Amino acid sequence: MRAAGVDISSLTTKAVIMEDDCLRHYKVIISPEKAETAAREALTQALIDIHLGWADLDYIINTGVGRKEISFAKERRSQVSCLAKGAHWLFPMARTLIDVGAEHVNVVNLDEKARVELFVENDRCAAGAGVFLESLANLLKISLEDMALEALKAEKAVNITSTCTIFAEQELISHSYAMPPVSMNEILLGIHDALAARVIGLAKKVRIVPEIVLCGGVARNPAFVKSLEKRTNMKLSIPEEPQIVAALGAAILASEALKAHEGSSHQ
Amino acid sequence: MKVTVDTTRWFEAMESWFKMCQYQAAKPSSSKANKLYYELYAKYYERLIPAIEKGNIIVHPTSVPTEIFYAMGLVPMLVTSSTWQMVYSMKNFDEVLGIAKDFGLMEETCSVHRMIAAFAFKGWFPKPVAFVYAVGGCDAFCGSSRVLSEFYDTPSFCIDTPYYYTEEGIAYLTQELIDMVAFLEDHTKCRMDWDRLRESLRLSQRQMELYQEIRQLRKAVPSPMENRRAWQLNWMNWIYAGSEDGVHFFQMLRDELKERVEHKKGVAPQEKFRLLDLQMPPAWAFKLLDWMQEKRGANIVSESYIRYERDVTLDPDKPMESLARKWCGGPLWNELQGSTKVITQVAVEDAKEYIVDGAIWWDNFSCRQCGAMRMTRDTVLEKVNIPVAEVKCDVMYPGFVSYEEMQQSLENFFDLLEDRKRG
Amino acid sequence: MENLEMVEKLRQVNASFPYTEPIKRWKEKGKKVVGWLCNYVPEEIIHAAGMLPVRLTADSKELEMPDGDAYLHIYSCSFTRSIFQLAKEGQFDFIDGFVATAMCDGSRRLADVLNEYKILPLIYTLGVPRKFGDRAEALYRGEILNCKKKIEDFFDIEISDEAIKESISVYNRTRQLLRRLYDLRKSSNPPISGAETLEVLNASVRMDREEFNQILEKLLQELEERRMSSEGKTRLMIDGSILNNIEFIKGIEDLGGLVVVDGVCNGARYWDGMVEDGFEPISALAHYYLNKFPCPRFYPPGVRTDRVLDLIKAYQVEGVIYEIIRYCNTHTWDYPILKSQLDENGIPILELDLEYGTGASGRIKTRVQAFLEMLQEKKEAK
Repeated sequence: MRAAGVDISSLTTKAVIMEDDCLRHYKVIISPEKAETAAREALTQALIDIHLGWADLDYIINTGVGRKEISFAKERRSQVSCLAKGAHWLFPMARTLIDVGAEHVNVVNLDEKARVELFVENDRCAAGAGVFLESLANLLKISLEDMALEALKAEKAVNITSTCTIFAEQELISHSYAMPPVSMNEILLGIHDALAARVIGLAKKVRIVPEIVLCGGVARNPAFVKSLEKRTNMKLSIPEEPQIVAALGAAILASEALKAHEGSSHQ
Repeated sequence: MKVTVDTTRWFEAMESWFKMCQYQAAKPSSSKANKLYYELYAKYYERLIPAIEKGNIIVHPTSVPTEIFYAMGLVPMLVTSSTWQMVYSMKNFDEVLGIAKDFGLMEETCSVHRMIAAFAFKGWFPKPVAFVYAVGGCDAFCGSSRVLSEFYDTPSFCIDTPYYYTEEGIAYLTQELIDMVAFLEDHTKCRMDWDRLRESLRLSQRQMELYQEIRQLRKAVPSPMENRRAWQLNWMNWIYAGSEDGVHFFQMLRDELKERVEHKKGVAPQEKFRLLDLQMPPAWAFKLLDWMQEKRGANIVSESYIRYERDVTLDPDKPMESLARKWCGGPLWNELQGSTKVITQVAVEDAKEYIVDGAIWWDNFSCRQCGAMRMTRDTVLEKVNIPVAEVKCDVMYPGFVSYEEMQQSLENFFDLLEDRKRG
Repeated sequence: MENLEMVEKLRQVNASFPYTEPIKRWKEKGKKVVGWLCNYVPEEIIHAAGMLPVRLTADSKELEMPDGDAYLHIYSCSFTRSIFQLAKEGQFDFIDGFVATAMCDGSRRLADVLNEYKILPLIYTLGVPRKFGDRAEALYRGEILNCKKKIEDFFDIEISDEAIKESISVYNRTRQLLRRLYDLRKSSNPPISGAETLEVLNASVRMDREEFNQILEKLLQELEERRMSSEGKTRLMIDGSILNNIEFIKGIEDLGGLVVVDGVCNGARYWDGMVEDGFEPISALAHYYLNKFPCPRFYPPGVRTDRVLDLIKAYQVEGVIYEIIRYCNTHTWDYPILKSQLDENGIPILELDLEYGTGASGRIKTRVQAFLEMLQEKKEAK
């Protein structure tokens, strides 16, 4: 029995294939413009990788930001439910999920059965998401990875208070010319800490209770993780592949749907 | 602070709404109560427009008991709906808000009241012979009332209302209402007909009973009443309080709903979600309520802010005291004005009695009730285990959050409810 | 200009806000502290109960308020969210209970939320009328009695009429002394600046009242000797939302303004008037609080605007700065009415919208400077 989940976002599309309750394979691609194309591409590539075809999939569920209808998916489920499902499968003790993507941030409280109790997502402004780090890295003309590595060298973070990218840029510039001089590493850690503060601010609207799972593209950023752990004073659980949690959840839901159909057809 | 009154826009707006009501009333409809609603609305304009031309009274806000005015032969003009009607027919939301700003009103306050203020600053409301307003409800209400009273330089009476529903509070409000009658007798040429008032109390009591019966009927599964109707009821309850027409309307509606319940007929093609409504949906986007119901099977079964918070018995021998109790125990009062525990309790009660799947909090820009949101959400989740959607919106201004954005928030919420149902 | 010794002393009190040294000493004696949220809480009742009344405010900086935002809402004014933030962080843990009023939507919701989440115990919320007169006073008197009873029940004590009368004397003394201090500012060369005055006002509600009165007496003696020139300065009144940030006033005064009087609730509206002698104390309190220089929430607005005009005249104010905390509905709605009155009387007014705790930011300085220049030109033109 093979089930698949596809999570379509504006920047990346993720596909996950489950085989008999095991995570068989996954794929992350840059999203083409049309949602239908994105979903098809991601799944096709995933299938090719493991030498399978479309006919080998028994149930597909799609999810993602926006309400894209996918012709070959049997169902569409909310991203939040899929995130909860995926997080729970990876970390059964998960009660809070923080998903930090490029533009979108979700914070979800789930119970022991992976049911969503509370959730909140970020306002339209993207300053509280990954794009914040990216635009400042661009300003400083370094890569995101290098920015994080340098930031980790600092022991403390400079306080960057602006919640708007444009003003944060100005603050950065003034810090770098400050007297006495402030170490660049502290400024860089400050950038990551500013994003962590924003994310925590959002999370406070729901509950911050352990076990906390951090996922989304920004979960790969060690300086961000350090800042967030410092602010929550808790160790975060981070999946090996943090971007695929929603797609995984969709695939798990697809598996469950398959079992339910099996069960009913046997009666 | 005298404004030059120019009522061109007001009369145009009232004419156009009058025509709209006539048009709606004439349309074929499966609901006789719906037709009657528009007929009565048109009838109100037929009385209001000549009354205003003669020089009549303005009242703000909706909770002031109209029985008193009618018993004096006065036709009250309601400020909030006049504002809405004017802005809607002129469709110049940005211009109106701009006017408010130019007069020094900051933007961080409710758009309804900013618009009221704009019209006050420009003298676009008719100048009444007397202005009656109540302070309470929320600070913005008090604010726009004061602005209207100051800028119009008209004899005004301010009704002060108590924070707590206690015997002292009711006694206080009762005296205020008695003083208000004396004020109106002085400034208009009308006198209170106490017999007429007593009779109207009898009719108001009947109306309240019917209102409660309707609320009971909405507990049925599927729920028989359209989402947008609740606000119609609120309007009728105010404008036609203590009148035969009012009783007739509520009776007709009650009978229609009763029939639907008997035949297990809902309003949505399929009732998927039963929802509690907390706060007020945007007045300019009622189509959203229709969409929710028709396309997503989401029925609003109770509005925690516009229901009677307690049972009230009107004693015709104590008319002012009875009306004070009706006011404080009635819709859009104690939930707004009182302790946060009031709304949280009411929301929990409603959630239990109406078997709801979730609740919507219309997160109106700068609304003062926002402070109650988190506490209500957490209490409702804890006690009744239902999620509350916070839908960002602006009650009067379409430029803040678009229809599509609100729709998206609701879609996300329905997805969540769907998943919860699956378990 | 040499510093005033007593102002320095009070500055030191404020420096350890919120758990100031005097509060600490009080608590170390095993005594209790009761917070209060609004001018219409009768402090004397708290004092008569043997508790230290401390005003709940935040202080001289704009705070990051993630908890305030989350538990209240971004549409709650930053004053309420700042207090919530500090309380959630435990900075008000020394408070044993607090009393609020239903004066404005923001503060009554703040009180309920603080209580609900067990952050600070709410003893009572007083309903306050919005009108003046006998009937309103009777209602308010009932509320003060309720407040007294609630405090008694909360702490399992009794508050005697005698104790209330004594407390009234203590607080009347403050009112008398602060009036004298303000009177000094009527002169053409006031011996104390607006910033220094705010330092004094801030400390008054963060320490033992008897001790404060003594310091104030000494301060008045110091001021008798002090000479300060206001040559070239523009006399200003500050009105609007509650204001605790001294840096804000300093910034204005550094630009050439001189704040000689105010209409804010922690300033002239705090000490205005006196509780009358020879009346039953609760009635006397109700009469006093309801008739002092009112908050803009009262009707008719003319009562307040007349007081403002009187003060402008008495203090020879050249211009008014009206600062409004964003989402402060009370003052947002007062401004157009006051502005209209002042326009009719030819008194210039500058509106500044800001967050609670804002200092003299660049944006504020620019606008104030332009306003002062305009006032200067107006003076020269005469």
